[in-house]
This record gives sequence, C-alpha cells and structure tokens, in this order.
Amino acid sequence: MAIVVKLDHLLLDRRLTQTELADRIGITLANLSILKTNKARAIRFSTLEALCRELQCQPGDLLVWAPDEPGDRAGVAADERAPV
Amino acid sequence: MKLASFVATLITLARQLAVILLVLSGLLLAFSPWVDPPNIEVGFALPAAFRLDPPTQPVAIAPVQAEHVRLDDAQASLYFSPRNRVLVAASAAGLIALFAAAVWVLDQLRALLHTLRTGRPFAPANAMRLRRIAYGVIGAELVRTAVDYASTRYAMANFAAPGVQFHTRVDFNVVAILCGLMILLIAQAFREGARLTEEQSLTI
Repeated sequence: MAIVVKLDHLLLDRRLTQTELADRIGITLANLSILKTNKARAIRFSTLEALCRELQCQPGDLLVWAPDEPGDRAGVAADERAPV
Repeated sequence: MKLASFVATLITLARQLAVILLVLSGLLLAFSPWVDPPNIEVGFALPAAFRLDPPTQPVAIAPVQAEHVRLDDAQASLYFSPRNRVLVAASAAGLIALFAAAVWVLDQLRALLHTLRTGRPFAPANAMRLRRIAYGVIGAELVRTAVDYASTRYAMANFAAPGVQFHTRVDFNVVAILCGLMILLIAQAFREGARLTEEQSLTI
C-alpha cells in the first residue's frame, strides 16, 4: 500500500502509548496496530477525525503517500479503477 | 438461528445414515466373492420403462369418447435376485461411489451451516463449498441419467413379459441442472461477499 500511516513520531511527541490512544479514539489495540503497521485497507473518516483530535494534528501529518515500490504504483492504478 | 439448527440436525442425521450405508456397501463388496447368489436372496431393483402392447393388453375405454388408447412410457422398478457375483460386486461398488459422494456433499453443507450458525456467512471457504455442492448436484444428475439409461437398456435386453415392450429411457431432469447452476451463481455472490467482508475487517 502506497499510503503510509505515520503514528510513531506523533505518539512520541504527544507522549502517548498505543493503548492510551486506542482507548481514547474507541478502537481496539489490535486495530490500531493494523493501522500503524500499514496493513489496513481503508480508514473511516470518523477514525481519522478521532486520531487528529487526540494527536492534535492534520490528516496530512498522519497519512503520507510514498510510492517507493513499482507494485505500489500498480496497486494505486488498480484502486483508481475500482469504484469508490 | 433455529432454522439453521434444525437443518444442521437433519444434515447430520443424513450424513450418519449415508456413512452407515457406505460401510454396509463396503462390506457387501468385500464379501461379494463369497456371496453365493443361488442360495442367498439378494434383492435388486432396476429402473425399467415399458409400454403395453395394445392388442394383447388393451386399455379399457371409459364412457368418455376416446380412440387409440394405449399405456405408453410407463416407469417401474424391476425386482429380481441376481445369479451373478460380478453384478453383486459392481452394484456394491456403485453404491459405495454414491454414498461416498453423498457424505462429501453433506460434509460441505455441514461446514457451511457451521459458519452460518457462528455468524460468519461470508467465510472465504464458503464460496468453494458452494461450488463443490453445485458440482455435486450437476454431477449427480448426469450420473443418475446415465445409470437410468443403462438400467432400462439392461432390462430391455434381459427381460421379457407377454404384452409388455421394454424400452430405453433418457430421463434428464433439467430442473436439477438449473439448480446446480443457480448454486454456482450463489457461490459467486458469496465469493464477492467474502472479499467485501475481508475489506471491511481491514477498515479501521
């Protein structure tokens, strides 16, 4: 996936643990781990809103497009063809 | 989920019955070399199709105005005791194949129902299970048609009765094939459902 979720440095800056953040935004630790390790397929706006609220950041601080691998470009192209 | 529980119970009972019949068929095949048909009453039932010969077996005409009445394409079961060990063994082998296939299909149904009862209808394996059930339904109908034709042909070649003309029959049930095809379509829908479920589970 070419979209990378940058949580580590934000957690460090805000001095929050993953468990605390998961509790505050109302998701399980397992789901937060899925998000953090870039295994998630999609993120709800409500989750993104909760993350930005707790981490006091913008969505652009959390989500970065990093198409480093050729497969990422193909994956992005395939997603663009898929219906939203 | 009471309906699912009831159906699951029925399927479990059917599977146990099929397993018992499978074991009995296996024993029949295993002991067929020692079966002495002339001294043991082994009952066989063979599908047969026949028509009554009008001159020797006329059909009585009711007060209703009608002409050229005849009884045609009658279907029956021909009961006999074979005097051939090979026929006994071949029939036992056929029964083993039939009951083994039934157990296999019922296993797919049981696994499918288990996922329904545990709230996971779109488990990834269910699409494959439904496809197998569809192939089982279509295959069973094709085999049944072939066996039915072979049986009527055997009856025509080996049995005779006054005023009765045995003939072959191709009894192909299109509805069964259509049911199999519908199950294949449902399997496609379940495959898509599994994909959406997986995507949804990875949506945070």
